[in-house]
Amino acid sequence: MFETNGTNGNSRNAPKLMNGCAAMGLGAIRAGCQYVAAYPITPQTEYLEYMSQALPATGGVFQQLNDEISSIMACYGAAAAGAKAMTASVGPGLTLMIDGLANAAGAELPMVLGAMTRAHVGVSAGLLPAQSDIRMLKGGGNGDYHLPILAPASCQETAELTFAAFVLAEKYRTPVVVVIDGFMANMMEAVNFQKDVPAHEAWDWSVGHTRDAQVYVTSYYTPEADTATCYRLQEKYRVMREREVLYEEFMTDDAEFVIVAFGIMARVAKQVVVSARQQGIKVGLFRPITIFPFPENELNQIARGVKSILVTEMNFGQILIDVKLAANGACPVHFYGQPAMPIKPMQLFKKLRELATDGHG
Amino acid sequence: MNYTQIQSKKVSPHSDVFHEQRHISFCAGCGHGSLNILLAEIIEELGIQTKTVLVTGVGCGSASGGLQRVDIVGTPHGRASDVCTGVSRMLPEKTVVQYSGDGDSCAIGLAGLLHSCARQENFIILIYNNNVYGMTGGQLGPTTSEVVPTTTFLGGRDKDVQGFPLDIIDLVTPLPGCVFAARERLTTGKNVFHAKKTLRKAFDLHLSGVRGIKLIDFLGNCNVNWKGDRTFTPITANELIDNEVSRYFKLGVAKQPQTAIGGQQPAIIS
Repeated sequence: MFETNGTNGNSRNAPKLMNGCAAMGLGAIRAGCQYVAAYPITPQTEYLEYMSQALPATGGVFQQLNDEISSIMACYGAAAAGAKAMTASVGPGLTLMIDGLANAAGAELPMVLGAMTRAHVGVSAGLLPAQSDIRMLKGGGNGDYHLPILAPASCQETAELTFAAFVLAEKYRTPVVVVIDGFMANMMEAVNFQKDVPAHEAWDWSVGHTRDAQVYVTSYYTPEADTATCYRLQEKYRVMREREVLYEEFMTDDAEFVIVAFGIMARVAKQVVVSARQQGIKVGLFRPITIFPFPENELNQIARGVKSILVTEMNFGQILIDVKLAANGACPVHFYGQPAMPIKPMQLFKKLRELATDGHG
Repeated sequence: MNYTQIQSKKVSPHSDVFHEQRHISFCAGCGHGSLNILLAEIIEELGIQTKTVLVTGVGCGSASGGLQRVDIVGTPHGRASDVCTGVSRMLPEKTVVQYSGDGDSCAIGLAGLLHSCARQENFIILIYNNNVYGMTGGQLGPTTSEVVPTTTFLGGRDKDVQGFPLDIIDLVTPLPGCVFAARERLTTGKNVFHAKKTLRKAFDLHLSGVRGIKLIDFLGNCNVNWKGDRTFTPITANELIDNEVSRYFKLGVAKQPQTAIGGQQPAIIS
């Protein structure tokens, strides 16, 4: 259903056709995921179905719990117990998980959250895709925290970045989000991902593995300790901003205009850049791969050398504010977005041509 | 801090598990203190100090995290049962104990608690049921009976507005995944000793490998924050439990393995 083998499908090394959901599952399994608790919601269900088979096969535990709140908190428990845990959800389910994510950020528990985003506000009947929920996921819960967000643009990259998310979560002791839109969640592509990790040993700070010291895992202690935690978290985010930024640049060297897009919209934009170049429009593409930490300095450098920036998203501007902050007034920032369906290359090309012929954009 | 490094005089004659040198934030006369000492003593008696993970809810019960010298996970409001699920699934050989108040477990955390029973998760749930939200100052909760004054319903539960108190034992008893359910009261010395026996029973059952939820609801006072149209001392508050609150909440063991629904014995972990 969610993966098919090629003609030589018995070979472990053969690429497989997988959708974004299954690719995310594959990346998690290869990263040594031990625990998944989740609640089904369209279009995340195929992740559940994939993990329900793949995880027990590697000795992990797969559970379906009563709602998203319980799911994220069971991951909180599993992570506190020293295990690599993951869950995944969509729009309204992610909203319910914000409480757990904020607490996991505060308790500094590593875990990975898969987000398959869809359109509209609140619960929607349409179930159509959109690159939504980014602003909520970056730190929508209470308090000053941020979650690293990785935004892949293909099924292959979904597997790779889910793997990377586990590494990042462990390194910084934080929940990490991998976000794909509903379109990518159900889109099938060839995936060939062979990376593995050595067997995981429970972290020193986790409960139930007591050597000598007592372990206390929580997001609240005393007023003094809580305040110290706030500063420690901020320091962590500063280091992440310095070291963990990921982005892709395409034909930006001599560009007069730059399109900024992430995820599937970056693929549309890349195609538009190629066609526009053929027509003499000097345009490039800047694709943030980490939405937090945002490639702020890199984009600022670009903003200083171009006539204008065009942000295009399958929504009404979830990363637009980050781009504007990065540009910091160095050039005009325009926006072109729609929910429910990726913008077609021709639509985007027309918008770009308008800007280009307008002189300065 | 180190288990062996901590040397101090014992409050309880038995327990090394109890952090007696810590500042205790419970009010004078509160039953949380009794329950924490019982828990520490039983962990000590059974020799499971390094094999126990305590999961605390939010409310006054969260302070038990500072008192027990075992591994502890602190959780946000109402999520202790969910966190216990994750911990116990990843550490099946450990004794995982949820320590919650009635607000934490029976109001905001009821769904997680009931579904843990439905899934036959394997941990122990201890509820300190004082009929109010104690930490926030004594407001009405789902377990408040008509005789306990609160700061929001001064004369106790107003049936016309708030309906009836929720009995957690009635709720969990029919679920096959809950293998032990009992209610005790932490009022007089005699009753506290009785409560200890029941608590020990739950731990023995757990350690014998009977899989499922073992739940005990402890009726206790909140003498400071029972303050609607009248106020209490620890003694009069305990008298209210013995004489009136216990009429709303049936005491004793409601369920143990022999009385499992349909005569089925619960699954034994191999």
